[in-house]
Order: sequence, then structure tokens, then C-alpha cells
Amino acid sequence: MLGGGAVSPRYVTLGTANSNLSELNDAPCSASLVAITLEHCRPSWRSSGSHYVEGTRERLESILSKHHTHAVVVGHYPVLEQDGAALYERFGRSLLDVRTLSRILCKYPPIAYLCGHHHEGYIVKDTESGFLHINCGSSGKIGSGRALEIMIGSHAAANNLQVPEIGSYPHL
Amino acid sequence: MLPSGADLHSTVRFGKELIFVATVNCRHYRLVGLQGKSLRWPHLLQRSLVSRTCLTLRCGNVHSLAALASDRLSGASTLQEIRKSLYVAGSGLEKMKLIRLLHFTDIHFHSVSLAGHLPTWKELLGYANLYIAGRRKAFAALEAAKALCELVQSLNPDVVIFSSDLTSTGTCEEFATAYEHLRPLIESSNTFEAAQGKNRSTASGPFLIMVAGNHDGYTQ
Repeated sequence: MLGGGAVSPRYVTLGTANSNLSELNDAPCSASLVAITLEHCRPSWRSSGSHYVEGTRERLESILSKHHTHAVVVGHYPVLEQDGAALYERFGRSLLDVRTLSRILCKYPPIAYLCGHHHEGYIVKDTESGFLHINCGSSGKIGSGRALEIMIGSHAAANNLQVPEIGSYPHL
Repeated sequence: MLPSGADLHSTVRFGKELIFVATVNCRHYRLVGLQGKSLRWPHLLQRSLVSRTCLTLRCGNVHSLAALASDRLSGASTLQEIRKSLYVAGSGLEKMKLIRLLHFTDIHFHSVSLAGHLPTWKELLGYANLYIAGRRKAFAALEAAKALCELVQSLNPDVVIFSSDLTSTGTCEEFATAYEHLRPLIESSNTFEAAQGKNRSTASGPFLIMVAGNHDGYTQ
């Protein structure tokens, strides 16, 4: 296992946001890699993404404001177009609040935002903010199925990974 | 869209002075061939995208270090080479940790399941899309899963990230199929062992992070 440093693991939590948010806020900066997970289940075509329960965006912004320099964010839907422009809302085809999400991610750019949904895959970077947007493309598609290896050089340690899950969909 | 070989970078603040590093290297591994058959190792080593490192440091005395590191890393192709290149005595770079992530997404396991429950209109639409329009022929999830498990075993990444759409219509059968074929990856993962109450420091597998997408909650 990589990492190199003698950093003792603390915890990894895949629970709800509120359960570990306070611990995360108290964690020393750059002590660990933070992987922020966003649930993009979007179960209702009427809502086009209303699963974003109240407070989700605020929690994302709060965590990123403190940890964006050593965090990766994982979602499903892209938030940037292939030319780097912010996605606009397409009824039923994107998140309702994709603009808000991209604004937050550009305001506090994480190491990278990892997503899928578009099977072709593309990697773009917002030139103004430096926000790196990686869509590796479908892994199961015949002819182009793939996985993407990403190596991050950082003073943060993977063996101290923290995973706050800040998007949830309580109806499931 | 960045062309192959373009720089990928973002900055990382370290303490109060250093603004450090980024995505060091980025490469694609083919999981599924043109005929839907999984590619065997070492064909997976074929790189379709490799990007050079770009280090962005903003402190004057560290700026040259960034150029040095960037220069050294640009020709490195393996993790060992990168680690070796990064070692510059007294520079601070040797303290930097390299974290290897493996990212995969949209694998789309599919199986038809009309027994046991009345499908929703959304599920019927999904079945029509898969089995009448023939969209299922575009995916080879079983082969991809097998290739992925082999890839994880070979690369030994620190973190494996799956960014949704494990299934096509979000049924229990599809999730069960997915679990069965990804079992080697899931049950060897650090996250799984931690959930089983095992000591994380002794776990050998990578952290596995999986989130749900629109096809995983295919109900409305």
C-alpha cells in the first residue's frame, strides 16, 4: 500500500453526513485525503434532482471551504460541458441544481471531481478556477470500456481517508 | 476537452505556505474489447491517455522545485519511476505521498426480472430500451467486472472509486449479479473489512467508494 507516512488510521465512515461532519471539521487540515460522495440517484423525473435534500449544498460548501485542497468529490452527473462551460439544466437529463453545484466546485475546487453518466468520458479543467473535472467514461461499454488510474501527489494520506456522504435520498 | 498528453492539475495547499501538487498521472486501462471480450493482462497496460504532471507552487523558493519535479515526472511512466523521480533530498518532495486512485463508472449490469413484483413504468421503459431497442448489446458488464477485479489486484490502488450506474434498471437481481461478479473487489476492500469490524490498519485491500446514480434508483 502506498502512502509512506506513519499516519495511523482514524476512521472511515460511510454514514450520513451529520454523523461525521463535526469530526471532519475538527480534523487537522491536510492530515488525510477527503473523498466527498454525492448521491445522484435522481429518482423522480418531475423533480429532476430534487433528492438534493435541504442543507446538502450548504454541507458541501462547508466541507469544501475547509478541505477542498485535499479532497476529491465523487458524483454521477457531470457538471461541466466538454468544452469546460458549466452545464445548463436539461429537463430530466441533468441535475436540477447543476449550476449551483458547479459554482460551489469552482469556488472551492477540489483536487478533482469524478463522475460518469456520459459514456464517452472526457476530462476538462475550468481555466479560471482550476477546477478539474474527470469523467472516465463507461467501464462496461463494448469497444471503449475502461477504468482510469489517477495518481495524486499530496501531503494528504490515503490511509487516513475520510468519506463524508453528504447527499442522501431518504425515500429509498 | 483536454487532448491526450495535456496537463492535468489542481492545487493543494499545505500548511500556510506551500500550495502543492495535483493529479500526478492519469491513464486509461481498457477493460472491454471490441467484441465484448475482456482484455487480458498485460494488454490492460496499454495506455490510451497519459498526462504529464503539472505542479503549481506559488512560493518563490519552491517555484523552481515545481519546475524540477514537473520535469522529472514528465518522462515517468510507472509509479516506481515517479516515486524515484520525486526523491530530491531536502526538497520536501520526498515527504509527499502518492495516492493511487482507480476510477470506474457506468458498468450497467442488466437482467430482466418480471417475476415477484409489478414493474413500474420506468422499469418497463428500461426493459424496452435494453431488450427491444437492443441497448444491452452495447455493454459487457460481466467481462468488465472480471477485468476490473484483475486490474485492481495488479495495480493495488489505495482507493477505488465507482461513480454510479452499477445496474441498468436498479432491480435486486441486477444488484445481486453485480455483487457476485465484483465480490473479489468488494470483499477484499478496506471499506468492507472495516464494516465487518476488522482492524482497518491490517486490511490489505483498497478503500472502495461507490455511489448511486440515476440507473441505480430506476423507479420513477
